[in-house]
Amino acid sequence: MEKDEIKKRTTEIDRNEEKICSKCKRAIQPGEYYIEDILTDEITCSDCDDKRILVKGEAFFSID
Amino acid sequence: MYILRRISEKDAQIRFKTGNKAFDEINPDGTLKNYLDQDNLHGGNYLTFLLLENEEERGNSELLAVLRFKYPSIEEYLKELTLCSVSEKNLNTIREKIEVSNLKLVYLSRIGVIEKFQEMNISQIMINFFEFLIAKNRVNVLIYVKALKGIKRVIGPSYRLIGKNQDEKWGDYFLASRIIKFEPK
Repeated sequence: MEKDEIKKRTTEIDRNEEKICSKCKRAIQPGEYYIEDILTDEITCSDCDDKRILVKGEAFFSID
Repeated sequence: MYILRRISEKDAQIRFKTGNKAFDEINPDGTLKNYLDQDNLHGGNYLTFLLLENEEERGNSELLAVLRFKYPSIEEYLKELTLCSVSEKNLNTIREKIEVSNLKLVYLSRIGVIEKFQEMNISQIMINFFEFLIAKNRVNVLIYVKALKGIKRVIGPSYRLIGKNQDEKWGDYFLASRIIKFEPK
């Protein structure tokens, strides 16, 4: 199967599959944003994400 | 009046100092000139935004905080992952996620708050504004940051630490990422 075809089919599956928040077990609603873990398929809904602090402290330092 | 806006030519001489030596090294003269020079307005790669307090009566502005980010290529991000000793397995997982979900890559370079207004949660305003900016068109994004070891605490739990490295100039740092996606309507 061509790479593009795999991508197309995976996207279709992804769209049809109900996504459940790993924390509150609520289903993600159409149009809602959610956080997906970069290494696993764990999902966090926008409500649970809102409760988390993105940054702590007053300067977000980077090396460049 | 408070304003969040893109940097412009008229801002070059505005004073900006966080008090952190490493962070302030980019602008040794204490102004925004170097930020402007590295912005894509001047052919650089970065997009810089400012939080200002405008005093209309006096006609001047005071800078409170700076936000800077860029849109790197997938090769640039994969190179960062390799430098941070991310395993081959995790590298493949990340590459697949980027390709399958067509993730737009964003490198959050820096958020800095002036000394006078530190410990007042202004960073939270800046990062919320940043996430609004990059995802406002309901685009799936992958954000990554490089944070120095000593200030690891500034990364909240929703940024997953995925690797670490040592930079000759800056020392130990961590690479962390966060994926924001939108459920189709």
